[in-house]
Amino acid sequence: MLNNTLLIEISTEELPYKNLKDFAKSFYHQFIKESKRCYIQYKSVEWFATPRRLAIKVNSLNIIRTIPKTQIIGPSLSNAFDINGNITKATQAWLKRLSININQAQHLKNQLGEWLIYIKNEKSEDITHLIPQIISCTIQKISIPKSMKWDENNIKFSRPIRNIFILLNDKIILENILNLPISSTIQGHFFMKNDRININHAKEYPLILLKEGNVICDYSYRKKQIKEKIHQAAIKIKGMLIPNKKLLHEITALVEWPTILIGRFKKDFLSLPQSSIIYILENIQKCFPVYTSSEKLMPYFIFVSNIKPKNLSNIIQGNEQVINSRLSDAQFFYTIDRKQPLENYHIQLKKIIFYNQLGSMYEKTLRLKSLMIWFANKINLNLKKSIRAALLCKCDLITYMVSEFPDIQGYIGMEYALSDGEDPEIANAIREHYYPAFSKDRLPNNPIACALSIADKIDTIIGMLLSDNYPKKNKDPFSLRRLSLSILKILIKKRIEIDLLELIQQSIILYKNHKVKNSTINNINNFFINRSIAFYKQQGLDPNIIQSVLALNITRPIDIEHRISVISNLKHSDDLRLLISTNKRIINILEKSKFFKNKAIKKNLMTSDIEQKLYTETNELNLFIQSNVSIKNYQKILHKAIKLCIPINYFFNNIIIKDQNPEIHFNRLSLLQYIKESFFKIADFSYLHSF
Amino acid sequence: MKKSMNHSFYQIIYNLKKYWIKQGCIIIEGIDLPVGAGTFHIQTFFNAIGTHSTAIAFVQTCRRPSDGRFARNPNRLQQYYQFQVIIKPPPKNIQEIYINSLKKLTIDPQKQDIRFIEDNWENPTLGASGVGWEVWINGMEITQFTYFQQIGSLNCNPITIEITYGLERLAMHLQNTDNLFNLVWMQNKQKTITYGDLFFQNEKEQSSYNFVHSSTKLLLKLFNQHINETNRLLDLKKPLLLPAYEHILQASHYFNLLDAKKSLSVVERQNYILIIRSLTKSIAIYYCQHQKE
Repeated sequence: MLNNTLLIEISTEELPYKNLKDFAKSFYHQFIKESKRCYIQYKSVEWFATPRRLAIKVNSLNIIRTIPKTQIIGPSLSNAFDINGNITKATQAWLKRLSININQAQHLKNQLGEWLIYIKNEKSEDITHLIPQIISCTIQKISIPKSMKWDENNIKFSRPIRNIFILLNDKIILENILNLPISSTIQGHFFMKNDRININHAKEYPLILLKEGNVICDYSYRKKQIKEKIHQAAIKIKGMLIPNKKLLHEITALVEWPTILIGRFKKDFLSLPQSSIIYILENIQKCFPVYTSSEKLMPYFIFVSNIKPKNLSNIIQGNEQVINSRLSDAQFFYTIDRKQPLENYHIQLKKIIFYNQLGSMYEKTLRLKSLMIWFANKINLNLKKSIRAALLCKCDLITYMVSEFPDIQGYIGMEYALSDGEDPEIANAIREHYYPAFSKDRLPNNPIACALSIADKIDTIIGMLLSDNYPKKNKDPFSLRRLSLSILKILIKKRIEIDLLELIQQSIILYKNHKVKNSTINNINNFFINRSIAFYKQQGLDPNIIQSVLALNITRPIDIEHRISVISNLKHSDDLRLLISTNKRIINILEKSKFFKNKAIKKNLMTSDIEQKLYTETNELNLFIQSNVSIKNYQKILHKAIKLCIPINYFFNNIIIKDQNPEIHFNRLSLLQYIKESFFKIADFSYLHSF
Repeated sequence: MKKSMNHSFYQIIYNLKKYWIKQGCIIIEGIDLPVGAGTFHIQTFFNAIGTHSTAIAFVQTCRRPSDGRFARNPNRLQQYYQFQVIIKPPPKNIQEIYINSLKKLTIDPQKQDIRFIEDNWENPTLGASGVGWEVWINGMEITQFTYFQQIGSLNCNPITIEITYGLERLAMHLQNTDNLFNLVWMQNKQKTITYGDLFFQNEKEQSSYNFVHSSTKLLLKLFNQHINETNRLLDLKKPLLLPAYEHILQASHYFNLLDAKKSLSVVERQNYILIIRSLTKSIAIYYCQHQKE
């Protein structure tokens, strides 16, 4: 009863290669969920995926399921029946919900009273009859981002489902699954061996397709095969590959029977910008570029065919022809582009609109220029280079090459700049100012690129916010959230000493034609505060600690980050708890004192050494903070503050604050107020009271 | 030469027509207005809306002004031909039927690497979207294979399958040439006519017109006139849908010419697309309602 194998194969028309693995995993996970829900047991489940099929194989399936005993308590006996002994509405509803009648219910007596109860005893049954509905539920729950209809059947899927095949051991199941076509055979490779294959036992899958059908169903194995063979091919032509996981996945998802082939393109095309050749090969033609050991492109490409005929020359020749055509297209654009140096395109940026009322790209670059001048002054960048980078960074948007291949903007600008003889730092900044472009993307390397990246992003954010384009819950078409997180990432990880508020203000000033109300500035501020919170949360930091530091309204991200991380390091320590509890005690006392007005502390009102010593040490703490904040020595500052807790608590334990003399009383409160303010220079520890 | 005779442009069209007739399609002529694709044909657009079944095939001359290359590029043209097949509802084995059409053209899927590469297609001006593939042969796209999901922004029911063969690409593969202008259009005992013989001069002059010498003033005027006429025809007591649709097509073509010359700003361009799209949608909705009556 335990050694059963269940095979489910869904045959489709070619599934989108970008989603194939996700679909397969979703199918797998949903099946496991459904099985669990139905108390089905098995040893393991395997999934398989090719462009034309998704399959699941369940090993050592237990054909008997055991549903555990369940008890469902209903209305109390007093509420269950009316005066005449008939069932009440409450009881009716309960019975209906469980699909039982009153005779199936029993009575239960416990400490809380007497109740109606429905007891379902443990039940063991053969699950064979359940298999079709489990499969139907699973298929309907597979996550498909963009689904389609293909016939009068209401079902929607990623691509038309042309067949379902279900085999339990050696028995084919031909029940109705969502009105989809169901058959008793499976199909081999659509082009190489388009035969129906008889499979006798579920255990034979997927080996039978490997042997008789020219199909490698195992996704990981297929990927591994491709990976090994493309590297072998590269070695054969004395070249190397640069790993591209995404492309490897896509190619794995595009074939059932991979054959690796080598093609060449015309050597002359190597004079084209490297990024355009790579883009055409990888993104458009789905091939692997080949490099020399010094990472220069070779006039070869490695690609995968889905068939393996005796004569491979047709396939190779065909692919070579297409690639040469595409490169020749690119050559056409490159030739037109290179009739002028990159800087000539700057004035033409007037033709490209940045956004509705915000002017052209030309005007954007002028704002970037102003921002870069500001940056250059603040963080000591080469002024001339900074300005030039700002003016050149968008020039490639006007070129034919970027109009044709928008994804390589920045790369083209960099390559054109280098060939014009521009400074390499400037050229790099043209490419790098787009980083980070997505959440795990790298950061820009050189300082000018970092500044330009921030300037470009802040300019876009402020422009959009001034036009009232705040991101909504699910809609952020201009990626303002991502842009602001990128700014914070760069400022913090690259240790850039910029005040965010100043940066925002600089950017707002540059949008001269916009009316800026106070509420706008508030909204923009709040936007950035929320982004900061999101940023630190993303790093896994405690929200309470984040709030405790943000409460100080500090506007230098790098400063905020230091404080948060120093406090986080002490998160579960007794030291920090001491500081928090001391702070709490001080606050409580101050809150209770209703008529207290803070005045200057007077030494002559101090009656004991303890008070005087506390006062002196608090002064020392403040001096220490003052001299160490600029170098962000928060670790030492925090420790000094923690140390102060000892004399504070000694003070609490030995001095009665509420002295009979009101002047002395209030003087002591003023001292406490002074201490509270000192702590507040580090963080608002009241947010950490739960620690 | 013998190979070219079997695979001349003319012969390819002839073979495709023969094949699809056998599959139950009727052959019609292409629409007599400049359009960017066979999808714009009245028979495609209107047949895709509504519930009745259809099976048609035709050759369509296509004009895409921005794709002109002054006849200097051996792979790109601003005027080319598509072979369009529209079937509603699609047969269950439509993929196989398509592959067999390639076999009939002597393309052997066991020798040539044929692939279906995901390509979801959208035409904002028609409010049309579909799900499907580019069909590649040894890396070159030769067909667009699409299950329409929406036309005129309305959900299709039943679904229509559209198979669009790029005839020049197909011919280049079959004739084994990498230069469009060398394609043999037709051959008989007297002479051989190439694609270049017929269209080289046209490509040169049209490209010059599209990119340099067209009159922006005139194009804008014509665009607006056709839009106005569309509106007028739709505002009639009994709207005239087919003539209105034809005026939209003409407006679209003038839009494409303006676009080729890059005379529109991003904002204007967006606006014009929206105008065309909303009028097309109105036509589709009217048609749908009228069908029910």
